[in-house]
Amino acid sequence: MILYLLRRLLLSVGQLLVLAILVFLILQAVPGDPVKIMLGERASPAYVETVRQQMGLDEPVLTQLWMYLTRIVTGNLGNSVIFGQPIGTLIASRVEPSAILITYGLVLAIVFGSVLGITAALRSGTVADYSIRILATAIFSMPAFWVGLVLSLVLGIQLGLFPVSGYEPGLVGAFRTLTLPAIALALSLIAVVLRTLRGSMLRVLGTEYVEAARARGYTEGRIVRRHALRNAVTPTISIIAVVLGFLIGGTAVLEQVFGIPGLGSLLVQAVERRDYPVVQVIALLAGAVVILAGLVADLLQAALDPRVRSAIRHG
Amino acid sequence: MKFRSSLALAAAAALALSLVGCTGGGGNAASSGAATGACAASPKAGGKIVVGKQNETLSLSPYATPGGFGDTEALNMIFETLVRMDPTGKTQDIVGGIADTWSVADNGLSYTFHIRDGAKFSNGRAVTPEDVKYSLDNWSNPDKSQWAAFARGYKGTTVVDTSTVRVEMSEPIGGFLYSLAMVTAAILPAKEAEAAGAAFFDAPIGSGPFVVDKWVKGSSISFTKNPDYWDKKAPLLDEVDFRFITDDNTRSLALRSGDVQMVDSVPWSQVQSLKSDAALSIQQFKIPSWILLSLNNKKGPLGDQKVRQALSLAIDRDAVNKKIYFGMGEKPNSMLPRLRYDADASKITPTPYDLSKAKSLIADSGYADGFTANLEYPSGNAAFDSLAAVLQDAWAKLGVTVKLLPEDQATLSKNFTGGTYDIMLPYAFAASDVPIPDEFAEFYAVKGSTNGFFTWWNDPAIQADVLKFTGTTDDAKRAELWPPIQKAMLEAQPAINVLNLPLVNGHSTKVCGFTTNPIGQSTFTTTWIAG
Repeated sequence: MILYLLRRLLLSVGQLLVLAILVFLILQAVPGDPVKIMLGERASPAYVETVRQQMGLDEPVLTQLWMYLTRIVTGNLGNSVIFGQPIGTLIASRVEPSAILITYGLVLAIVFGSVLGITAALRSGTVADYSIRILATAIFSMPAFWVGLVLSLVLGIQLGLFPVSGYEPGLVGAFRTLTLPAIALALSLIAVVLRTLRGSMLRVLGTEYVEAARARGYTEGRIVRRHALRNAVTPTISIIAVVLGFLIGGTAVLEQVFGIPGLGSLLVQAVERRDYPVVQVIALLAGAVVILAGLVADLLQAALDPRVRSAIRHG
Repeated sequence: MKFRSSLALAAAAALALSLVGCTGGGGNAASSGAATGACAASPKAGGKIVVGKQNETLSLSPYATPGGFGDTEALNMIFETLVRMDPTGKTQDIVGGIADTWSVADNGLSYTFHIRDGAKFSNGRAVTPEDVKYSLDNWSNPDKSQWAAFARGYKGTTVVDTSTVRVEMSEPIGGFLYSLAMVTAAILPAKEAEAAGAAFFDAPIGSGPFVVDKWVKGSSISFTKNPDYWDKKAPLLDEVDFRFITDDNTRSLALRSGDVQMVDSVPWSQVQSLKSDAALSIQQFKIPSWILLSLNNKKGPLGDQKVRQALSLAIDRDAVNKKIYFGMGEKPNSMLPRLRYDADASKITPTPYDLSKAKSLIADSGYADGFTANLEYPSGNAAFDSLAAVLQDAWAKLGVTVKLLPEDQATLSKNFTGGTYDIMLPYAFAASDVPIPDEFAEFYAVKGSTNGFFTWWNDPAIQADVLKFTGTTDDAKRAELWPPIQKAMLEAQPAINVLNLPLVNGHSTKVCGFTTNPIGQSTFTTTWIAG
């Protein structure tokens, strides 16, 4: 088990390294001279050259790559070009709203997705099942930014329940300002959770051991809780870990729509202004979260499912 | 909250998807400047206003403004300049700021400024001639200031006595007072700024009407009234908050929901829907802003004046104005935006829509069989998507095949300054930094680092006229010199002005007395809240 954990960790580090290099290479391919864009069209050529040297952008690409990897490994991330602040400080000041938004959205998606998924599975083939599935597909096909705007119009403006933009720190403030974007974020994910859970539940409910449990006269509630759900939940966990990446991408759009000063809106700003050091760190951070989620999902599966543990043990 | 029908809701949702329909101009688009309703009462002091701003404040240094308007608009609140552009916007004149009186030498080689009694920084210290010298020396130093090009001609500042400074010039510059009135030439407290170093600009001390209270980077910046401001009648408000809301739809929604009381840069397509809300009013300001359509004069057909003129004549500006800009634009009679000294439409006629003349010009040019060209423009901008399609269609009638290339701002900027484009709308928003022609006349006509503002056009005769104009300090003479240049540049047509555009701002009907200076910037000194 420990060996497995080590191997899994090593794999994650490798993934991070590949990601870091990819991010660097993609940014190299983006058109536009970053220094000129940052300084504006009227900056003098001499000033442009000075800043280029300060940023190390006059060095060969390989040297730049090495400098960049060194910065990441040593944690000395340097300064943001447009904000002039150290990148660590800048990101720390923006991480709170994004972290809360993603967690909030994830919790909403899991809670509503599970309830609806289990309901649909238990009432498979009924009107309830079909309605839930049709509704979920319909919502899934709506773009998150549009859902966000409609939510703003209905819950923000017509009913006046929530502010339509901005962020307030603290528990109450976060609830007030992040509920609408969290719903918009969760809606797309609910369909995924619901469909995966419903599918695996149905498969499990059709197995012989569930038949056997029924034959023993166990209540349906006990069968669902002890047998079906526990078996059905593992594929759902894997899926959630995968779609977390999409969720993080979704926050970039929603933070723009709702004017939330998080990492997503910072990323959009940094890309627009070619603040490469900031783009690199945020992209890497987002990737690290997804990689970490994959790791946690694997470990959770091992914890929940003895078959997985046994597979690990016997290589 | 206010009741809104579900039809309005659906309409707004459609707008949210940026489905800009061609619904026609509708009502009249005149400015609602007159004091009506709640604003008819006499102004009252106190209270605060929250403003939803399109552009975020990234820097509070007058010397580096990476945030563009987001920076300069915040700087205007906290810093003041020696002289100012009329803050009421009623004229394009220069009025007093830190200096209450000034004079220009007859040869234009020196300016004498008297520092106003009572001009103080927000730490209570009086503004001294040494502060002025320190600030102007920094402003004009290209190693320190991104805006040093505007200080052309500045030789140095001499302290004359405890309240007088003399600014010496190496050559007469006609627009120098306007350059001094830009907030990038703000007067800083010398000792305090030197002592604090770079940290000074995180919480700057200025002599403007407001002081920075709290700056939450990425989110908002709030200002409180500066009790030491020299004008004891201003500002009326105790507090002004700028909330950065970059998304156009969200900004409008924030205004409707009452989260903010004012928004800047209302998108054209949303003006009608905001106007229909009884609790809101829309204000338009005539500023030197225009739809700049740049032509690369060094590239084949676009180097031919007849082709350039034909392209301009083929644009049905009335239709563009009505359908895309909801009637808020104005047909230009200049290649540049509306500026001081411009001859009016009775003296220089706006370019008409004349397809047959355009066709005959093309036939006479070396490109009678037409040509193909790329049109690059900012992506994600509903108005420009429509405009680009209209231009493509209009020019097809001349045999010009246009390929549309929506691009992000960074790519546009690279191709524009690198001269690798054919035809381009380089900016989502183009405006002159000063209400006088000097800035853009020189950009276009005088050979220099911008290569004819990236058109690679040059006409030695026009260049000589422009240099004479920008080197003249006498206002009456400048007024005589400009109109012939305006006419010559319009005919040469190195670039096309599609329409002059106003600045559109939306606010609650309770917000009164809001004005901007001639370039659209406000210090909120006369703004007050009714009720």
